[in-house]
Amino acid sequence: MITRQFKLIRKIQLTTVSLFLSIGFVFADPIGDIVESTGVGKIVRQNEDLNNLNNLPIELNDIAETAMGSMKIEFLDKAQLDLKEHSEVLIDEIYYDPDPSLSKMSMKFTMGTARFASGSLGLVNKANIDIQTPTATIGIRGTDFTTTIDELGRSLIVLLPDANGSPSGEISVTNLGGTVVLSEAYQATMVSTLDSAPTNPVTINGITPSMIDNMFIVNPPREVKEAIEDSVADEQDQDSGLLDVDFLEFNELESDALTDTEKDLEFSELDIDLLEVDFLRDLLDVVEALEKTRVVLADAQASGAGLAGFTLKGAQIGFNKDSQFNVFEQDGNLVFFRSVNGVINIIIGAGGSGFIDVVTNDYEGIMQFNDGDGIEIYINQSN
Amino acid sequence: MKKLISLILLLSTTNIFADTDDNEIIITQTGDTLKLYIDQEGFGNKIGGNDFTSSGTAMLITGATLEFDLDFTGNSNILFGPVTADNSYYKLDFTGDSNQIDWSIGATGSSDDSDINFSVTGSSNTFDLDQGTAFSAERLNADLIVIGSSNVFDVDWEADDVIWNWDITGASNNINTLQKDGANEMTVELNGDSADVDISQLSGTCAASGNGCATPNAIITLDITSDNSTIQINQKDSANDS
Repeated sequence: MITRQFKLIRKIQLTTVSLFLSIGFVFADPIGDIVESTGVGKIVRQNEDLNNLNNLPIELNDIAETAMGSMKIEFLDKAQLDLKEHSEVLIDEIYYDPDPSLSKMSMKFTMGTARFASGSLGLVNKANIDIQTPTATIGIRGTDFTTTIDELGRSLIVLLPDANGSPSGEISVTNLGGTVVLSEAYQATMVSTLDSAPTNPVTINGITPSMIDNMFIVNPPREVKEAIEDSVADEQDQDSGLLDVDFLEFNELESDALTDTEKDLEFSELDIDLLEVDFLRDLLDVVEALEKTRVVLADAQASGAGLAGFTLKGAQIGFNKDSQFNVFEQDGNLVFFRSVNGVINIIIGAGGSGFIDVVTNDYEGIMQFNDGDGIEIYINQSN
Repeated sequence: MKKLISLILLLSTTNIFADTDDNEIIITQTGDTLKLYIDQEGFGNKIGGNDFTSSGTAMLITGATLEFDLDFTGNSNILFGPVTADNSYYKLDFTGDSNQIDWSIGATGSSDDSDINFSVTGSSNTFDLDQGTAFSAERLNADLIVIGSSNVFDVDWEADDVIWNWDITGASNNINTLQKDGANEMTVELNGDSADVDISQLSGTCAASGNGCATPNAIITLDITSDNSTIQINQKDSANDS
């Protein structure tokens, strides 16, 4: 097995050399494989989407993306990269040399939640492993950690324990604002911008690795929230010019510069963005008392485009900011998908007619499909 | 000690008036690794406890690592009973009309790691199933396939980590189901008109904030092809349906 590994490594070395000799040469040797995948995801390779992920070999410069799914990549040195839903990682630079000090592994985590565990074969010196997020660089002196990144590039990094529950080593998180070192199990730091210092490390209690996903940055654990608040307070004390920044307010999600463009595009399951959901309504008590509104059908948008003959009232294709339902056509069926705390996914068969009456903590309304007669669905979803 | 009970009853299908000729299987069993296989054909048969003089009392089966395989073919059969066991597999197939099933799993003790598979072909059957009402019941995988009309189901899973799939084909089915406790996932495929479906999924969602629950773990998926059906979904992050 080891012999085979080094044969592959030799092939990659040769390929690496060839790259320098021949501009434009395209890497084709696999550096790993997708060993697990669920739901919807893809590999983007040279601007082509590869959707059949079952045991798909991974090559340099591949972009791994998940939508409503997950993916696990195992590299030749047994390093593992797990992507949860709505995540994206660029496999930037990986090569293996018989001398681990000459090997290199570099990846860019750009969106969502990914877990990285360095390889058990020790083929790459940890000092040569370079993980970047939009706002920080992670230095590896440990083995196992997660990053969660939102649309703004803000990064939450959590050091995970080993199999015995002990810290899996250390990782350093660095950007223009400074460096922090995580050395305890479930110790975390949040990095908001490239030049603002990572928050002081905090240890998150009562979690397991499986609980860490995109919600962790939208609704951070209490310990991280406090660290963020402390960080903001410190910066205010230092008159750093960030007096108006409230990292908990998170209003950026409410504006979408692409809204007008997206109306012209077909919305599908792949386009569902769980981070687009306004969790703040439910999770943070910072919003003033919301006046519940009942959507008047006559005032609602009607749409039939791209919906396989369905017509809609009280909802539109794509993400509905009021009800927080994603609405799209799939295989001739009409799908209503909502993921706020709980998940409700309703699939209406072709030609179906009826309505969905929704009551949540901050929304009441009716979404009608076709003439509204036939199927009556009443949803009461609340805390 | 491993126990094996295998009962096969074959009844004449010509025995239409079975009031006095009903077959009655009386079961009271304690012990681990029970494998119970029952094929029952005919009319008006009963499986339960030790008394069928009224509506039938419950059989009582306790143990662990049970394998329960019942195959009913016929009408107006009755199955009663609490079963209490961890690490157990249940397979119940009903082909016929007007059967009556009242089953409580884990009524007298824990019933963790259950795999339950129901298949019903027929009409006007009545099912009352529950698990975990009083004791621990974690990691349940339950599947129900129904082909028929006017069936009535009342299914309560008060258990953690439940995957509950049902596939209903037929008209005028009445389904009332409850998922209660953490990490619940339900997938429903409904093909048929005039259904009345009530779904309650409680305590599976994240609290408002600050309790470390970061992942929505209450998931309901409905795939509906129907007309004149009413479906009510109550999904709450609280133990009370109010």
